[in-house]
Amino acid sequence: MRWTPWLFTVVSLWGYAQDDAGRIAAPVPAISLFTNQQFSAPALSPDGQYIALFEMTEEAAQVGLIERSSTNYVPLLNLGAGGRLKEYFWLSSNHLLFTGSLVNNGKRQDVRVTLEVIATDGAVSDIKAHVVRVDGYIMGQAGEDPKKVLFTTTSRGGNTEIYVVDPVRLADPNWSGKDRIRNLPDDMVRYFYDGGADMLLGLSYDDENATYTIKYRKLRGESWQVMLKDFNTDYTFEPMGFLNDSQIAVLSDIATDKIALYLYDIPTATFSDVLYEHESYDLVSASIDHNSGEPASVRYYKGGEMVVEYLNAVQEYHQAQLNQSVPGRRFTLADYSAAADVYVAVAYAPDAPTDYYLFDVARQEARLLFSVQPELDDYKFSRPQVYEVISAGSKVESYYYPPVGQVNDVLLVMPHGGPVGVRDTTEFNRLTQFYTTRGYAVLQVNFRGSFGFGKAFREGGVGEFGQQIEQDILAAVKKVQQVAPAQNICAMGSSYGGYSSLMLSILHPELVDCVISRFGVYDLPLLFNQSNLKTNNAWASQVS
Amino acid sequence: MQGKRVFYLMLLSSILLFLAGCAATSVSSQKQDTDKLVETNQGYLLIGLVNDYDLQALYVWGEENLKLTHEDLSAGENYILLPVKACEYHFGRIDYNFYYRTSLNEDEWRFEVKPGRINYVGHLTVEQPFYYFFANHIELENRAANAQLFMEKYFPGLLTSRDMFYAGPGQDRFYSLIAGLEEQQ
Repeated sequence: MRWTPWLFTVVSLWGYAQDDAGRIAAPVPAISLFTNQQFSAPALSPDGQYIALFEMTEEAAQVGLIERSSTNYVPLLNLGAGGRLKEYFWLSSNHLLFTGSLVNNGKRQDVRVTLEVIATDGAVSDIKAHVVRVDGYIMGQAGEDPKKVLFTTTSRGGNTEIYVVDPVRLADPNWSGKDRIRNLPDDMVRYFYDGGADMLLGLSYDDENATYTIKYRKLRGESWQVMLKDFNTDYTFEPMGFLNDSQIAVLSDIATDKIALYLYDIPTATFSDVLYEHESYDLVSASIDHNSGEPASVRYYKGGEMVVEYLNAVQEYHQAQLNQSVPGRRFTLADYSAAADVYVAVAYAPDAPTDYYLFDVARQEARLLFSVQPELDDYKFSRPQVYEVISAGSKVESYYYPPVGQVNDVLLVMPHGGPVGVRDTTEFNRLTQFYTTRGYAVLQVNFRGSFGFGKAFREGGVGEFGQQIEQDILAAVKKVQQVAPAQNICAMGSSYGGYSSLMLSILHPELVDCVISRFGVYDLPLLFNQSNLKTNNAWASQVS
Repeated sequence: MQGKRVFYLMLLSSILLFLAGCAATSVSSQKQDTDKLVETNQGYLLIGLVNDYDLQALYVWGEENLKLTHEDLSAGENYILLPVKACEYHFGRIDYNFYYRTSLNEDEWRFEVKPGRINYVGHLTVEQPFYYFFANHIELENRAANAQLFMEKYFPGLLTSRDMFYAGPGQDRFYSLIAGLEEQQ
């Protein structure tokens, strides 16, 4: 019997075949799969010479930069093990403002610091750190002077104060704001700033009626104008940017089934034009070109994948070049230099962790900057197939992930939580890939109630607990069983997904062999009656 | 003169506080698994209590005013089982120590003890968030299953002789459901 372990090894290795790209089809160690991203948040300096990035390992977190000319990596700021990045951005081509926290001797400390990069011929020779001691946050670069920022802080009396300030001056321990923006009303709960149009927006909240009002004015203007009065969160109204002084681009589904990009005329409070609407999918975001006053891009999920559609011909061309240069990846432009001659591009794929590329426009050259999880690069992951079924008159989209390597002949049906206003996508999902690389097939279903397919589909999920939602899932399961039949089916999920999994087995015991349910919502009356604070009138009015 | 006035004000406040405390009968949780309901207009009040730290007193206002003392209010999870007059009550006040207390709004903390049964009104949770001293989060949570396990373990005899019901805010048919299941078995 001495040969048994050898036989086992040979059989196992035989199962872990390699694909054409030399990637290993084998169970990825959980510790590698679920470890946080090592690199993230690349930000290009305005002159395109440096790429700031945040690195996190078990030993330490740090801010660093890559020199574009030499590709050298230069550490800028060590934050200790567990240090966190809140945000950073380039104030100039050699000043990076960092906000986050560092950990020193086990103690966490909030940090706001301006890092001054001193360089000779593009090579970093020294770093100077200017600690910003005054408490507050940067709202954005000032439209009137790009070298200055809008700094927001709170007065001793608790009122919001906004200053236009040279950010390097904030490092002065005796800093006191000189250029304060006047006439800020007390009732605003939050301010936003559109630097391109130099417009300040304020959001106020009416406690009694639970409604919001948005007002706006030029940064240094006197009187506030009402943009939208007394709206609630039953529908979408997200300003994307001013097109001119009286018109803005907004994402909304007030007037249409799908969330679309509208031209909203403020004086008449009307949606005067549809700037972009997709026939099947809700938009999730959009951007505006402040120079032309036109929409620059829109984003939506199509077949589970995030699609960025550039309405600007130049960016559309660059994206197409990138998509061609690395097959199997879908690119979006994440950041670009002031002259738009260098781009940082994100490469997505359902079956690979995200990669970041640097795209040189003049040379037409895309260069890999880094992978967010380099230790996963050698493994093969499952690429989903999209299936659509008609269920009770509605089109239901689902994603089927075939197993990788060994095959267990088990289909894991994984309904998402919610159920209303939530959705599954095909972006690289570590939990899904954990199962597929262990031989399981996985099915995710965007049943009615899911976000992204319009208002009617979303509202169609209301009151369908255990009913039509489960029929939608069943229809998707039957479709997949026709295409790729599995011997056994197991339903698993959390929250509503847990309840849904259980219901699937109760309604169809002949179909489902096992259920794994985590904190499922099995008892709706109990969910409502769980505590005295949830049975009060205010809560009851929210859920009734 | 000023000092004397302050002294008399403090004395008066102390007397009023003392009288307020005296208006409630001090009670303590039943320990033995014996039926102590002696009159037909009595029922059992079962309160679960979860608190981060020892409390000084808990007042329950009704036709009878009840005061639970620190004996039953030590930190952790505790159950308080009391034979009381069947009527409407509400949690009235929590004393953290001699100086600090919270009065509770009658409408949100009301419950009814019905005669002849065990009335579980919920778990009164008193938690102090780590970020703010003396800003307590107080909530009455329905943990009916925990209360059932407690009664099965410490008062099996009483649970056999008296039906148990949820009597806290909202509705919960949990006890009727498991009683039905037990009957089927």
